[in-house]
Amino acid sequence: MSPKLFLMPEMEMEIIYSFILIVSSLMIYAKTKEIYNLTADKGIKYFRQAFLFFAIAFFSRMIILFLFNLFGISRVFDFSPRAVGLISSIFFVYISTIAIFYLLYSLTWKKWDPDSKLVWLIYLVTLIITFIVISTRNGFILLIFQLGLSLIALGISYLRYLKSKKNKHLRNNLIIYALLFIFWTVNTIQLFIPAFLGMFKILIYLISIATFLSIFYAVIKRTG
Amino acid sequence: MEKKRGRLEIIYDILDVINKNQNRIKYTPLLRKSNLSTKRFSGYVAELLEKGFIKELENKNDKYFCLTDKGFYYLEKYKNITSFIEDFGL
Repeated sequence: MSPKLFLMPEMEMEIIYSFILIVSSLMIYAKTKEIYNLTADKGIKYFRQAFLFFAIAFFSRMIILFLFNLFGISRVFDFSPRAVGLISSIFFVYISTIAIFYLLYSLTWKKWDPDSKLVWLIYLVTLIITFIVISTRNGFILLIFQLGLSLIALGISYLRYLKSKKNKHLRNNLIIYALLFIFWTVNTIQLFIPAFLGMFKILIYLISIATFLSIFYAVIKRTG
Repeated sequence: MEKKRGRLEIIYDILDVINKNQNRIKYTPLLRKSNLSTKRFSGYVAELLEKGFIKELENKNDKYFCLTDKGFYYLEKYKNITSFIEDFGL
């Protein structure tokens, strides 16, 4: 299998798409630095960490897709030598799952004992999930797990919205998180089940970009 | 029933009391106006001193608290901070 040194048109689209999401995630991380330094608030801390991990995960996703293009393969486990595919997938599954966990934790951290070792438990559970996904080579496990986390987060946002007597801020918050969790999961799955997005790929990419940019806009509106 | 104040709101209230008192207030009146137990108040004051939001000044054997630039900046940014937290449900 000879490496392709030119980029397929689809690859160019992937790079632009990934670049927008990486930059917007890093900008969210950078723009919230000041209010975090000022408050040392844990919710802000986990929110920032989620976007830092989103940026790293999207960067690794871009690299993996670039390698797909280079070696003319379409599945992460088809890499030769196999170690390349294995290391890339372990890294990506781990980082993307941690990102979702952190976002979920930023919504729920007040409910937990501040001295609990929940963050370590998150790392441990993520390691176990990564091990299961990689050893079984089954992307559906990752899909189910990440969608499950997304549904929990959506449930929390929805209950909070109902409890607040349909507060406008929380409604917007609910919509943004719903889109973010769903499209993040769909993006993650694309590496393991390439045909998953099918003909809706461009539409999903556009909605993903709109979601990240709307979060970025909401962040700069409040942080200046 | 009045809603329990969160950590950021308590910090805002302490800084606001100092600011509204011509940026100069002694320990006891600040404790009284902050509406906190002595133990919790001491914890907050220690944190604010350590993080540089307030400083302690001595004048003729009296000790006063006053805001630093960082303290004023927190007061200025407080609404944005709480809106941010509310917007993202943090």
